[in-house]
Amino acid sequence: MVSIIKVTSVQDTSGNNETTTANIKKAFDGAAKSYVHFNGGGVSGSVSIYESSNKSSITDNATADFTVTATSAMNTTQYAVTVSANNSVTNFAGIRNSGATASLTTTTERYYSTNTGSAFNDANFVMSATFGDLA
Amino acid sequence: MASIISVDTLQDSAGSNEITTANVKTAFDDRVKAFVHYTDNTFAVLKSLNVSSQTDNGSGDISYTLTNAMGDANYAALGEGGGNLSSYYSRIPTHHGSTSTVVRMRCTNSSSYSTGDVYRASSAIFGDLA
Repeated sequence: MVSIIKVTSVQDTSGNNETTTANIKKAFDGAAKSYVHFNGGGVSGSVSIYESSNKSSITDNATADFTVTATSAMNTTQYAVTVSANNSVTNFAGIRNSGATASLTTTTERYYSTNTGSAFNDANFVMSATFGDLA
Repeated sequence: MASIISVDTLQDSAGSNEITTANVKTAFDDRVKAFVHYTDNTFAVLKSLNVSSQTDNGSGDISYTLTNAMGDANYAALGEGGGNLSSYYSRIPTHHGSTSTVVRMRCTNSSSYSTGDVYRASSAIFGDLA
């Protein structure tokens, strides 16, 4: 049986650090639902995850074309994703999505990395965070 | 002695705003660990969290130092920048040269892709604190 406590606020035993239950829920609603930092193949040639939360795998679809899969799905495909990437100190990378092709599903995000001339190019580092509601 | 309540779910006293204890932990673990919004032209920090100082390494090349360090250098660092509205936007590749305590950002302009100062820039990082 699930246990439930109904309480307006939570505070520590010293009476400090008080926060309302409503604000605890807002903190969860606004938290990143997943993030990832991965090698886009530019470092060693093989895609690999450095650090992540709620990400299960990365697929290297082709040069500079990545699909990242979440462990727990989002509830719609309308969530927000922010992405940054780079290659090296002097060779910057950009990120662009797949244009007309849907790049987001409830469980996957697809990124394309570019070099400074906007041509597709494997990035050294690709980092993203996802915001919205889990399913 | 620490006091602990073991419970699966919290609700407010009206029975609304329900959240599981597991999601309370997720909200803490996956929250942003540091952010900064600054002007590069004057290098003034407008708003920040968990940032103790910033360093101007050169044109378009800045770093900020964390008050509380990350567990390692593998955290995710995101950044965006804005240039002169009339001529170009800027983008910010981040992380090259970053450490567990210093986040390094480099800004480029969109016309030449050369490193250059931006008008305003923001960055946020995600991962585990030390």
